[in-house]
Amino acid sequence: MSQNAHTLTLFFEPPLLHRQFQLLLQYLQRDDAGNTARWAQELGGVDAAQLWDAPARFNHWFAGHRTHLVYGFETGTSAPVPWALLEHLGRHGLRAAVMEVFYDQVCERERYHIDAGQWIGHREWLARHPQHRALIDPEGGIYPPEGAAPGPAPNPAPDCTLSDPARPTPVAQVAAQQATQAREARETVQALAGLAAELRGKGVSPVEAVAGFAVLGAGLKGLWHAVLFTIVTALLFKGLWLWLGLGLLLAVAWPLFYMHRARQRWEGDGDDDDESASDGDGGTAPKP
Amino acid sequence: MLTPIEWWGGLLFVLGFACWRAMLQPDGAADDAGPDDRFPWLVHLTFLAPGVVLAGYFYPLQAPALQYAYAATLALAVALLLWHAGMEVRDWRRAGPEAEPGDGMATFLGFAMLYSPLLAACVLGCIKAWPLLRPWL
Repeated sequence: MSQNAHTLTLFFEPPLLHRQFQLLLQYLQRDDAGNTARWAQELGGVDAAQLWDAPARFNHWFAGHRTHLVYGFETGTSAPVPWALLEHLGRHGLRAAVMEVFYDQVCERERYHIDAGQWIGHREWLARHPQHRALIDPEGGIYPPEGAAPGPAPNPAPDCTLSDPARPTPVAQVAAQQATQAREARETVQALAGLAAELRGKGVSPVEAVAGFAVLGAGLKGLWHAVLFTIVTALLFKGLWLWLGLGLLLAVAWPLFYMHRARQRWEGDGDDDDESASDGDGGTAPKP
Repeated sequence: MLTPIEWWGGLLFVLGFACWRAMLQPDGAADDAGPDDRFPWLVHLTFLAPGVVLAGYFYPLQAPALQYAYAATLALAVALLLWHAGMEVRDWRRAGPEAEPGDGMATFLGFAMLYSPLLAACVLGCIKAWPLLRPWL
């Protein structure tokens, strides 16, 4: 099964905070609930569940170093980038971070650079933290060489995309946008599912209902065109009664024409489906 | 009424607009016309220039500058119309051996219907500009 592997290289300041987060992550890795709760409390109420046990995360691993912490986990391919986690850590003293997502479906990586609660470009991040360059790119194959001319230089690592925002953006804003999009998508799916269930309850096929809406929309479009035509022509040209009469005729003809065309389109699609279904089933009737 | 354009002028405008929309449709009459693919702005200008000529027909153009501008626009409209007609005839001749017997008349009728509002606008423009052009001819 394909997965996305997330690797977070975290830089905490001051060193005491770095050490405390190292202990917290170590205890989380050992599944030591007592010490985890103690250090989470010590760090000002870090949400250990969000840090480690968020839904759809698995295969966690952690490596503590003197200067930075590396925390990794895997998710499904549809899981979003963990901006909420970075925003939460930012509120508890995270100074800088580099987040790498490896999409094993396409064998490509993507990197995001965070500093002082903001998602920034990789050039700016490296300029602010030149001492960390060797830590996040030990083999020197990901970032353009130091002193390279600014501008869209060719990326030395073709399988790694450096995801830079157009301008520095607060991580909280990105996380909020992500949460809003997720909520809207969920609500849309729920609304559609509810509508489909309601229609099914009334004995109406959801497909027929959607086709009905499309035909109704086409009729309204035709009516709007006729109204627009009447207003423009009556205002611009002489012969008010001619344009009013013509507009009235079009107000009947255009909606009928558009509705007929929309109906034909839907019926045409249905015919195609039927043909393909009967082809696939060797001539048997298509299943509902 | 915001303009002095007569009702029949309005009908010509409406027909011209419908032809212009038909030309822009992917499956429109001029879809296979080579020059139109290369110069899409020329198609717009072919319809815009006769539109200006037709609108000008209903206004009293007293100032000499306006009259010359009108004559120049008319010349542009006629030139574009002739250019389009020439291209259509050329395409028709090229497709001559492959065309079916009734195709020639159908193409001619289609072309006449599509460009008749433009032709009418140009004829009206010529009538209006005749007093100005007479000393030159």
